[in-house]
Amino acid sequence: MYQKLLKPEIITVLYLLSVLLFLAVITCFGLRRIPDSAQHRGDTITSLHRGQDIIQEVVPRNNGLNTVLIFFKNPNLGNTDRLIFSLSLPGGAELRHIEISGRNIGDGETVRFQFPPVPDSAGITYLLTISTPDTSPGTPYPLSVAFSSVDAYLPGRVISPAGMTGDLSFQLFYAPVSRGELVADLWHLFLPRVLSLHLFLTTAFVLIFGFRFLRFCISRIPEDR
Amino acid sequence: MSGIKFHPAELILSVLVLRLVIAAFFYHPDIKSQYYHAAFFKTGIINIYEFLQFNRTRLPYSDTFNYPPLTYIFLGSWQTLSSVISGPGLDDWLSDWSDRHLYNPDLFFYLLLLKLPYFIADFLILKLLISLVSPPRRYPLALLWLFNPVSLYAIYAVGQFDIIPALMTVAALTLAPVPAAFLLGLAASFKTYPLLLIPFLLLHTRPYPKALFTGVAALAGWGLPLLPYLYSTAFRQTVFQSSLGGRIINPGFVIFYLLVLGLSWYRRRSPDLTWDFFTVTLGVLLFSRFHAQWAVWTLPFVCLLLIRLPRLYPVFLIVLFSFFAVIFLLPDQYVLLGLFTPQNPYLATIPSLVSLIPKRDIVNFLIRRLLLVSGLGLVFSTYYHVSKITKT
Repeated sequence: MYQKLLKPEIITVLYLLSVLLFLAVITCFGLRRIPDSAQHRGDTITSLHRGQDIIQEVVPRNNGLNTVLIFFKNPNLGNTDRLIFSLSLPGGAELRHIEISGRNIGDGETVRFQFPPVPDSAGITYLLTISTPDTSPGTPYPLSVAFSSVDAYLPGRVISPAGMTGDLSFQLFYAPVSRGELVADLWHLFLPRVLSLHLFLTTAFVLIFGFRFLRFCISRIPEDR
Repeated sequence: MSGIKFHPAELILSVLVLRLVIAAFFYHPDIKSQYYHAAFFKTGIINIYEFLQFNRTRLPYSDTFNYPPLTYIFLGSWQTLSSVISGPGLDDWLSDWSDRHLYNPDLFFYLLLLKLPYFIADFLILKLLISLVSPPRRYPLALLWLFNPVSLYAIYAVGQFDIIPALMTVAALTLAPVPAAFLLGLAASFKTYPLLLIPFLLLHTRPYPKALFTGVAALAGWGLPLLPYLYSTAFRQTVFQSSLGGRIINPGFVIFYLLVLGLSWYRRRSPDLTWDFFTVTLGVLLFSRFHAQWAVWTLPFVCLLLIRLPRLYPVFLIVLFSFFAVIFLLPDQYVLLGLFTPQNPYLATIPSLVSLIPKRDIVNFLIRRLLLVSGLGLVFSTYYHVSKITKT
């Protein structure tokens, strides 16, 4: 039985099937969030304290907004105050609210705020608010976040601090609502890249040249054993 | 294994299909980083270390290039040829450090193209290995070498160039001491670890005065490619303070190395260095916080010994299991899930496997101990065998 399994073509098929199975399992059961939109530039740093909240408008592209990543600095891990994250509508209705301690924020760390998905989030303007109500303005250890110095996120703007021309550095993610749509989306990304002429020609070259070269390399294996 | 028909065409086709799929569809950022630096070669930059020291703050990717110069020249030469084949798109992709680089329409083509030299080195190692065993063992050895998961993972999925110095160390086994020493020196100009093998070659060189020439040849092989760079502070800082000095040389490894040197001296009349090379390169995995590709250093020698001693397969399987467990439990996205990002770029957002494991420190400790114990088991059981051969 095991000798049959040791055939090269069987080993190859087993390898490829196990890889495919692993990919299918992690895609269908492992993915909790998918990148939506982001503002990556962070060339200026702005500190947070009582009276200076950060409020940024964001417009997700997809339904199911469930995660926001924000880059923080906490020099010497000195700030241990409460940090409040909230997601609200411009009218004032708060949709999600998360509180964490400065103890959990490193210096130069991207913090993940994860919450239950907002179902119909596509194309809606939301306000991201970050505040540290317990941090007094004169503290030597304020938390700070990164901003772009220019208007790098066209769909939204900064509401607070007032007068800021750039945008907060952030990343939005959404929960895949339909696994079928996710697989179809990945297939549409995958297929044109596999059907590339360059890839086809290189594969053909490897098969032709590799076949001759490998035959030369294994020429000393006796045919009749 | 007797009773299995050997069909060369089926073997070759299976081997090529498996490698083509893994090489084209799996991605690790290291290959992009290495070829990004290597791309400067075609612009006439020879001292990449100095260039990066002065310019990296204004480059889109600011890491240093930590490998010896032959690696830069080799990868740079292949990158030059690749960019002629692929057109300007390859250079653009190598310079793209945004999130969009995984969505490039030619990503699979670039990955395959950049990994092509490793196919040749991989198959040449097989040819050399086959020449080192008796005819009945050649087919099982070919299966073991061509289908082992370590090389498929480290060479084709991760895309590391360690197969090149590994080829040279295997070739050194087949040569007389002086050319073997030169080749080991040359291999050390790709990655520094073959320097660890040279003392064993000197120890086994007969007659002893010839060992002097062997030493000079090793020094020449290592020193000649390095000579133009030695004046450069940037080169000395980045290369000499990287892997060999910083990660491999530690008290545990030094004691192990000296012990192996002693055991090797005891069987110094044997010209066969397979066990010595195997033990030292495996010792690096056992005593240091290794990278996955370092397993390629020891793999050819493991295959040679396993084919001679098939009863050690169970121990080897434990070593293999604990090796992959250590690797997959590293807090690095790209040791497992991230490798699949060309097929599904969203996988980069999943936390690494280790973050899901409770009491990860204890699990890590146990897995590393399992690797150490099973690895030492493999070392000493193979020594028992080779020392018996030496005596007879």
